[in-house]
Amino acid sequence: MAPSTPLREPTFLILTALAREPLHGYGIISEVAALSDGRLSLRPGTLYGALDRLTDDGLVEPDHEEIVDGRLRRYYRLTEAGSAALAAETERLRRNVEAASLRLRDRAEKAAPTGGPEPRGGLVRPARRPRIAGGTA
Amino acid sequence: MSDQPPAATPDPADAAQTPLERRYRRLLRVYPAPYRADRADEIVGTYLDLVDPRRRWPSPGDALDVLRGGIHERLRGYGALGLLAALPLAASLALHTLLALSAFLLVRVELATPPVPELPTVGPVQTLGAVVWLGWLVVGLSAPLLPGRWTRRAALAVVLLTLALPAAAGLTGQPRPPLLVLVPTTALGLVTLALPAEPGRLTRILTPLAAGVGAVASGAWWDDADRYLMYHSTPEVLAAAGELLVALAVAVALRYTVNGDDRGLWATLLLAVPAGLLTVQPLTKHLWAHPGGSPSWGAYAGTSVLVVLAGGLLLAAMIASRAARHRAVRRRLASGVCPTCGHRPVDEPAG
Repeated sequence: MAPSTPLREPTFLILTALAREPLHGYGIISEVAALSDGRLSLRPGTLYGALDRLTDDGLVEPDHEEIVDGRLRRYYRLTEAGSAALAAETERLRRNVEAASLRLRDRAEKAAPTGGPEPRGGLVRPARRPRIAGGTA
Repeated sequence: MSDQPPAATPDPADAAQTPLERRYRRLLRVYPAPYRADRADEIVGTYLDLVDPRRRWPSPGDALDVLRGGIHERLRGYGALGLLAALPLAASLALHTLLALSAFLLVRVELATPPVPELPTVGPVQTLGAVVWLGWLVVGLSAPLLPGRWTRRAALAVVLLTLALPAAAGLTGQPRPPLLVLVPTTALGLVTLALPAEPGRLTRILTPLAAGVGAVASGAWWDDADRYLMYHSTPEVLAAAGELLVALAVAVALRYTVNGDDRGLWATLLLAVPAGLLTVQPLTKHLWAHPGGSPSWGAYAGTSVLVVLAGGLLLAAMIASRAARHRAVRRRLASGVCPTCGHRPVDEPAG
């Protein structure tokens, strides 16, 4: 099932890492580091805790096992529910990015020198809410 | 990638293991045995994939990671992960209690002229403790502005400073605050090490509140010239801080419980020991009162041990109750009965 609250960044990146193909622990850690430009460096204890939680939530499941150089590698794959959760979170983030981009574009247009008289209030969409509304973006 | 089978059955005692692998396996004993039996090879393999093969010992960071993972897995097995989720909340409440208390102890006690002139002082302050209280003031006031990891490091530095204070005072012959003040503040300081990665709304609300309480408390008794100017006259202030902390934690717990979130309850239990240690002096007088004298150091130590045991028992009882509930839910799920309504068969476990 898709979680109702936004995914935390490590969870989002683990699901993203598994979106293309099943990966083992080391593969997930490497992929998460690459996806975050090296900003997020998961350690195995943290990773396996997250994988267990995601498995409990039905978002991830074990795929297959291999022995490489005498070391056990268990691969994990995204489930249908995990794929849906990742898609829902991606859509939420995309809407946020679009909203922020639009506001920034409005702000840039407003700040750009026009050379003419100041625009009249009725012709320009206000870039900010009135202070008394108390709302936050 | 190779398909060849393992040369031998994985065995922790296998002589073919490198010293590094053996040490990782030894560290992994912090995980529950059934989990270890199923996952140790996989987890150790991942650690070994990541480290320089020339290493002989796991790094401190890896050791801490294994410890954290093991505690996480044990609490998950008990259905008590709320305890870990509550740590940042408890840390935030502890930090702000320290902020208010430090403002009082620095302004009202350390900077005051002692009523007994022959008592030794350390320059403009009464004891070496002024450095610790100043440290907590800086950490507390900067917490809303800095990333959590910086605040945690600064908090760790102040905790280490507090722990070093008795030895420093002994070596230099300078006065220090009594242990009955240093022990509870160290306990609170240890809780602050779990501060969240980013300061949240609670921190932004509590910081000015705590600073205000500290400032008001520092000046509230100015007209009573002889009171609260020395550490031995401050037990009721420490106890008041402990009671305020519990009241605040309970209020936050109620607020969270309304939303079906038990983090506030866990946070209250986590703070029970530090709050209890703040009230040790009046509690000892109440428990071990004998006519015509103040309690002995043994009595204070005994009360402190009782407080720690009682807090530990409360926490253990909460974990045990969660474990029992968790087992019941798992039994119901295993029998195909909905754990919520008890009737409707379910196909998959609810999240």
